[in-house]
Amino acid sequence: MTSLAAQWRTFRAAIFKNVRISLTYRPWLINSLVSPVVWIAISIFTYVGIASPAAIEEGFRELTGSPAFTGFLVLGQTIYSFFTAMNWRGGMALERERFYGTFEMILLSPASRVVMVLGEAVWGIIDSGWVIFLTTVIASILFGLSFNVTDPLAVVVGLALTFLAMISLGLFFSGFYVLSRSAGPIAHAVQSPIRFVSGVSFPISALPVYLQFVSYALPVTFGLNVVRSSLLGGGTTLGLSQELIALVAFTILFFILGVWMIRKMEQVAKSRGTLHTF
Amino acid sequence: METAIQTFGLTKVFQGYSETRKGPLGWVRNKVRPDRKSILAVDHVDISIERGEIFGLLGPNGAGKTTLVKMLCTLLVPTEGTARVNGWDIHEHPGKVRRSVGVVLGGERALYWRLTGRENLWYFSQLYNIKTQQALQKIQAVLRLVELTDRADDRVENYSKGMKQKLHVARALLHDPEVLLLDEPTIGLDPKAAKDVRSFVTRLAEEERKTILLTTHYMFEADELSRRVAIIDRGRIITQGPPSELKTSLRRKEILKLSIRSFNEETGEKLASAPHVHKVIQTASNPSTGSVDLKILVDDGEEALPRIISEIVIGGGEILSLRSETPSLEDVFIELTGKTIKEAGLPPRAA
Repeated sequence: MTSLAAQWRTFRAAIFKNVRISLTYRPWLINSLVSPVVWIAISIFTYVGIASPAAIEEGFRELTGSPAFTGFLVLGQTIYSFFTAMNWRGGMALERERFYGTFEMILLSPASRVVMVLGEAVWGIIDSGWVIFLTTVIASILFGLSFNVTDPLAVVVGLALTFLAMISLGLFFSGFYVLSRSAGPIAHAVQSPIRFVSGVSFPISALPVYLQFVSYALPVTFGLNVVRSSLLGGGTTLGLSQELIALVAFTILFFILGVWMIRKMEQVAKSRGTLHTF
Repeated sequence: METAIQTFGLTKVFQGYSETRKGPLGWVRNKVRPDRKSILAVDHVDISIERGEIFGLLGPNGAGKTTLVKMLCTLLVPTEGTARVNGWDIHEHPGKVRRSVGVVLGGERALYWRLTGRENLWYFSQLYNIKTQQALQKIQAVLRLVELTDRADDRVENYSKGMKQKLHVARALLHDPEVLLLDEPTIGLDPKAAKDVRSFVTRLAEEERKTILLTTHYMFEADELSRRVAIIDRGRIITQGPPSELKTSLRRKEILKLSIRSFNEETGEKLASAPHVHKVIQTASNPSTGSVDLKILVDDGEEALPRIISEIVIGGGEILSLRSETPSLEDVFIELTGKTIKEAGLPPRAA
């Protein structure tokens, strides 16, 4: 099955299924709205609890070139929320089928497994997107946030490439999680370290140099830099070109790794007879 | 007759972990996760199923039925041998095989419980690339066939086991496959639901001309539905043919069913070596009354019976009931394996 129409049907079906299932789990919305706002509040109060706003702004100016520490923290949480959405939606897409007991059934179908996961990941972006947007608005009102945009194209391109890199990462995780057979623990385990090294709550220049190498091996770091620079620091498309190219490279790399991982997962599972177990 | 499914020495060995883990990392992994022994699940199976027939694969739990079905639909890669399904080799054309088979693996899972029956079918119709209008018509048709139309818009979580099983069958029919692989389609169902499933399995073969491979551990089900039956035990096909022929092979023998109180092992040994006695199988025991049920396969009932009675009485036993039966598929299984199908549900063989 290689026709575009067939791929579209698979993609649309993956989104449809998730929309319908999500609607039956409405209470999750409370957590999705509250949790990021609380995390932002924790970060902000951690700073203002130990120094005056003026001192914090001065410190941020030295480390990032911009004094907007509230915006830094709000956008940090926003982009990190997209990462967690991808981790749990796209990354856990195949493992969830295993949990439902439908994994063998979808693998029996001629549908592309990659398109299926991409459908789940895109739904993750859409579903979490409006919640994250709402959270950002709430946090902006609560904690005060001023934007400094000089190149709207940089904002649009930066966000789009960040989402694409996240979707690719989700695809990679989906194959990796099923292959590892320990999806839940690993999905939980990667969250906090990535939050730490990608600079969600503080500038990564505060990290030891060896950890900064780890930071720059993650698309989340580049996504954060691009979105913060374009929305708060007046960054332009040209000025952010290196980060944007890095995001494209991450998208391609994780897409290739993801496709390989999903194929490998299917091959190994069919050989070992572990498709139905979770 | 045209062949729909043919297997050639199909074999599956589930490898033990220690055999696939090498080097220091493998050593660590073996320490962290305990070893799993290699298991020979299916052992050089050769079967041939004609187009349009219902073929029963009969065997106890753990005999290799599900593994065989999964290899035929390409969910499992065989260790050795191959099969052709609808003319396609499972190794060379797994995609074409998948498109031409409908599979029911049964159980309560394998459906999206939070979706309705209709939504489940729509989702899978899209994975099979069925155009929207066609899909809606086909969904309506399969729902009607399995008699689920009235409950099609209820969430699956509110379905009974029988309804879920019907939905499994409906899903398997969505893309109009020529071959249906039904793995234990009536397991766990109440008698009414099981009867419904059996009835539309028959209809599918008669009216829709589907080729059906049906696995079951219910003897009567295989007998009632199948044109031909293969009996599988511990991964091996031990006999195959039409149920009537398999039973006819035992015609010259009789089955004596006895219920005995105070039966002992020594008497059992004497009965087994008595003239005209072919096999003695204990089919049940009732500790509260101290009685056991025996099936004794004999060449000649009239000749064998006096000796059997005397051995039991001499051994201190009391015969509570005695009757003669015509052989069933269960008796064919007993004849070939020396045990009942329940007793045969033992751990699989190590490879």
